[in-house]
Amino acid sequence: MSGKLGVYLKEDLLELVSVTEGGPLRVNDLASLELKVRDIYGDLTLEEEKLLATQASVNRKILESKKLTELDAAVVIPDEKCSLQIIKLPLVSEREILSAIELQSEEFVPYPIDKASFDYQVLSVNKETNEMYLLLIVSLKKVIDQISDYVLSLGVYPTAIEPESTAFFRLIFNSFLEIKENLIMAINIGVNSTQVSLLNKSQQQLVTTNNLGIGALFFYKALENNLNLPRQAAKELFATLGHNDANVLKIVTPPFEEFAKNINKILLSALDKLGALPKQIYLHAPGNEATFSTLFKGNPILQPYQVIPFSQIMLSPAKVVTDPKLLPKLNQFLVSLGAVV
Amino acid sequence: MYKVNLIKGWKKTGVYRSYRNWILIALSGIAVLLIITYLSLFMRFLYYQKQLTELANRQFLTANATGFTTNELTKTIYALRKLEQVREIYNQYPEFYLYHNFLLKKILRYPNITIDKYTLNREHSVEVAVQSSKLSTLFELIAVLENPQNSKYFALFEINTLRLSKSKQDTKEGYFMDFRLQFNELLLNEKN
Repeated sequence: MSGKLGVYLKEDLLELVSVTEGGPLRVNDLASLELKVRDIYGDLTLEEEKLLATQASVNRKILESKKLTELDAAVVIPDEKCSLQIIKLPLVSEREILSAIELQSEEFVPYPIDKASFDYQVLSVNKETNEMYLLLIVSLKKVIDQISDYVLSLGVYPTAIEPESTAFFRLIFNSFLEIKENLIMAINIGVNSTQVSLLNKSQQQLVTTNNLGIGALFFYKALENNLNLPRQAAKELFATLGHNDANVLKIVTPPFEEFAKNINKILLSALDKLGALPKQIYLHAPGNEATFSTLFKGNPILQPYQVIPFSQIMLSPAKVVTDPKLLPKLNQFLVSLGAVV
Repeated sequence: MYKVNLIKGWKKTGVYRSYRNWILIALSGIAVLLIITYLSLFMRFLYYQKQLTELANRQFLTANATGFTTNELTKTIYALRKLEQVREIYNQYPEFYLYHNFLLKKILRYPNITIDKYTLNREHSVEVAVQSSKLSTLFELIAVLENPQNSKYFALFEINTLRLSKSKQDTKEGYFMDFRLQFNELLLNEKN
């Protein structure tokens, strides 16, 4: 049995799950710590960097008091800080995959290969057509180094960094979440973009994953421009949007229709590929899940699909055990939990 | 399954962990060293304290008991210690010092008398046990105490035991006597 930390590093917040492996995963502690900067991934001013460092030492002390330092940490970063794509390569051996990716890097990697940090997962191999499909994840080395250094400054040892979606894939495929449907869509709405993935649970297969250039910011801007609000007020208004705010709903509905059209395109391409459509859409939109659920339900294109926020899915008691006091909060820490499953 | 890692092969964690381990080892080493140093200093302090006490005793004896033999020294130290106790009591009961100074001076006159026991109480009653290698010395002491010049200061003087004693450690023979006496107030009145 060994202790481990699942760390979800959002733009302005750090969410941690402390677990013990061996048998069912035992969740020992949960913590949510502020970073005191608006966006750790953005360009920080000198003052913000100082603030981040000061707050890191405060957070380190908090972790020390909870005896959570000196542990291995699996870190999850937002999808939009990486590029997730399914790529097709000629059938090569395991050793040659890296060289093949590097060789075709201009096609797959959105930055010069020497500035990129990447990893892959083989999805399928077709010996008849001599092709293989990989899930390729790429991020800027600079971002990865910055995140690793920050996590190290908290007194824990980063051993892995991955995007949110792969953490969710493992939660789903390893049956940590009680999902009965076989074909499902997972939508992860970030600030600037959205990752839409189609999963086949019985085959434990990622079918498609696409990135949409529309994120929560798209909706904040609509509110800012129409209601002449500052960013923070627009953000808060969007997060608390209910059925009764008809005037505000009128403002966010047109951008959401644009968003829905993009989702629909992905659904239709899935229909072409698989001959079936998912019945359920699982949604992850930190802070905005209630609002997006309302918008999904009110949209004529997406109405037929059952929209379920990830935070409302039951965790399998056979897979995860915890103190009854922590259980109600655990769903808010799903991404951090996904890092360690 | 779907386990990707963007820091695969990243060395910094290992380096940090090994630094951390070295720092821990170094800190533990320093802590052990400090504990050993502290303990040795403490033992040295105890040793010096002991030496200082011995030196102080020796100086005390040099100043107060020059020219005594070992046996006399033992006797003198015992008597002086008793006198010290008496002096303490004297602060509260001044007549104690007067009485017991008087009695001890009479006993200590004889170099070959060793005091085995000397107890006193608030009623100025004294129980004394002495030993001497010569019986004649003990008789001389009895004579001195029974001399009217001295016995007038006692309300009571009685000898409980006077016998031959043989030490267990050696084969030397000696004589043992224990007696009890009680002072009256004459000495105090004379003094005042």
